Amino acid sequence: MSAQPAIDLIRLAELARLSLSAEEQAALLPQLERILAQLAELEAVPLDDTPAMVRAGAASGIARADEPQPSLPREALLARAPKPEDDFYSVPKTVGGEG
Amino acid sequence: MSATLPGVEDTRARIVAGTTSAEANLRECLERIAALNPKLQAFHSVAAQSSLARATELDALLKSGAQPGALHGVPVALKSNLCASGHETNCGSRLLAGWQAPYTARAVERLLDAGAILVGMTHMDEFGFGSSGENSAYATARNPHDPERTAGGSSSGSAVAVASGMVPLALGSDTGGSVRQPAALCGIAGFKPSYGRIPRHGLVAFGSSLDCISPFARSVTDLECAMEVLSGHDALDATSIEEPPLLRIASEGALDGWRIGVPRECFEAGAGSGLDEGVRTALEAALRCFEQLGAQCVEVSLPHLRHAIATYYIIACAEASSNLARFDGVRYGVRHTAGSSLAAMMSATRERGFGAEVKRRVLLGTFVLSAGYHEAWYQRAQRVRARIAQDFEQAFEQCEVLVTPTTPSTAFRLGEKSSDPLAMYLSDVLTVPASLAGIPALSIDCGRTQGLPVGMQILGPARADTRVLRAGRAFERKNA
Repeated sequence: MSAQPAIDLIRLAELARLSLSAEEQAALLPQLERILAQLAELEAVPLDDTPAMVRAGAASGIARADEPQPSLPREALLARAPKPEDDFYSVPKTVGGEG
Repeated sequence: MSATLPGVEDTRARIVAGTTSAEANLRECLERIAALNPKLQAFHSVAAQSSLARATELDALLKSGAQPGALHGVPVALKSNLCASGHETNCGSRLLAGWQAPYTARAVERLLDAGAILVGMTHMDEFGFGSSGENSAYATARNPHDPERTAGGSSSGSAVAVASGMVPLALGSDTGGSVRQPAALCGIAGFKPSYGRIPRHGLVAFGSSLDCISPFARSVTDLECAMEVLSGHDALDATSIEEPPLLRIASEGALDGWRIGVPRECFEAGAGSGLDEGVRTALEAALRCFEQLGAQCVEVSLPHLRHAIATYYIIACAEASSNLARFDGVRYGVRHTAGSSLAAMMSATRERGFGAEVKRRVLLGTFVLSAGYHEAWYQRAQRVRARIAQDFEQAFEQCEVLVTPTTPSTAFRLGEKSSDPLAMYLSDVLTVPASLAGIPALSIDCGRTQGLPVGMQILGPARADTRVLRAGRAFERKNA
């Protein structure tokens, strides 16, 4: 953590699967830098050996019995997808090239 | 504004007593929506036909001698990040335009099983990212007390629907204050229960360690009616508390022997909260009211409160960036194509489907989770979160409940903060701490300053939801 973290916005957008325009990049970079500089105040909080709190303490986190249950109908889910094809979600090619 | 409009209890009682019918009551609601919605923009879709059919069915059931449910004939509205079969769950996003859920959320199922009527879906900040309603891709809900001002966010439309009397009950979701803040700014009651009290099955996830489905109503009594129905364990949500539904506890309203904790950091000038004088004055009067009810006010300290905004935005953005990865043009909503690869299609879909605030938060979340930064940012925030929760535990050793303002100021003007994301984030300073700790928090109306509502927040220890509601009800009755 640093008060002035360096942001590689192009790499970050790639990781976040966002194809930002040049205008958006120009607007976002100073905003993100300013927000992160503010959030970096946590660096100064003394924490000793305080463990991480991953969820609110009241949660049970208990899984239900491992018994098969009916799922949602396949056709209902496919009907809500942008490009269904037979029993599948159709997507552009995933191997080769930039994919 | 809404004092004369029937609430949840009254509506059911009038229908069951035969003073009115579910259909006649619903028609009144629909007329009110038709008159007010063009100006206030609470609903993005109103299911007039299906709700009227449901009302007719409920009237026939009652006539046949069937036992009426706890919410028999009560019209309800849903924030559009809740799934309800046959209704549009667009999350305020272009990416999910027209998307209808294939199933109904457990909380919504419980409302319907209790006899509620689903009237429609309400406007919200996109995916819950916002505190003013202005981040909706569709319309900005407006405050009924002054339509030039914000109704709060992100559950803006649900708050407006209740505050303007369109419906007596609505559901929102509260991740960092998204029900309590709009409730405060619109002068109604909103309750974020303990984390896990209302099952989240069927709520589109934003921050999974924080999200709580939460009701709005015009009184605490009405919230209690709703909580009886909404709460209780659900096997489809692994974070759901394994306890039976909350039951209302009849009490005379006095709070003899109670200690009301007043966190000094919430009232200090320059503590980051920027507390308005009018809000402070209203809260001081509310504290005197608690004393008249037999309670004693004690000063307590929450030393890590000033770190809550930074902690919350790191954790919430991290979880949001992960949860929103599913919106990639493959399984849900709209797809945009670019180039010939899968990655290019996903990036184009998200670029054109998401609004500016969503992109900002997804990028922030991706940053704090990325290699080399995860430990320094995300894990550190989780450790500060533990400190904030410990502060609350220590405070509750000295008192039954805590009382704070819900928001540092009353409703701000639309456009006032929309170009400054950091200023908008800071408006959540008093609501995010309870979200991080997972404790129950109620916002109720405690007066006016310059004609605008002031919200008071009552917080209790984890799972002490009933205690918080009881304190709120006592205050409400004293001020009725």
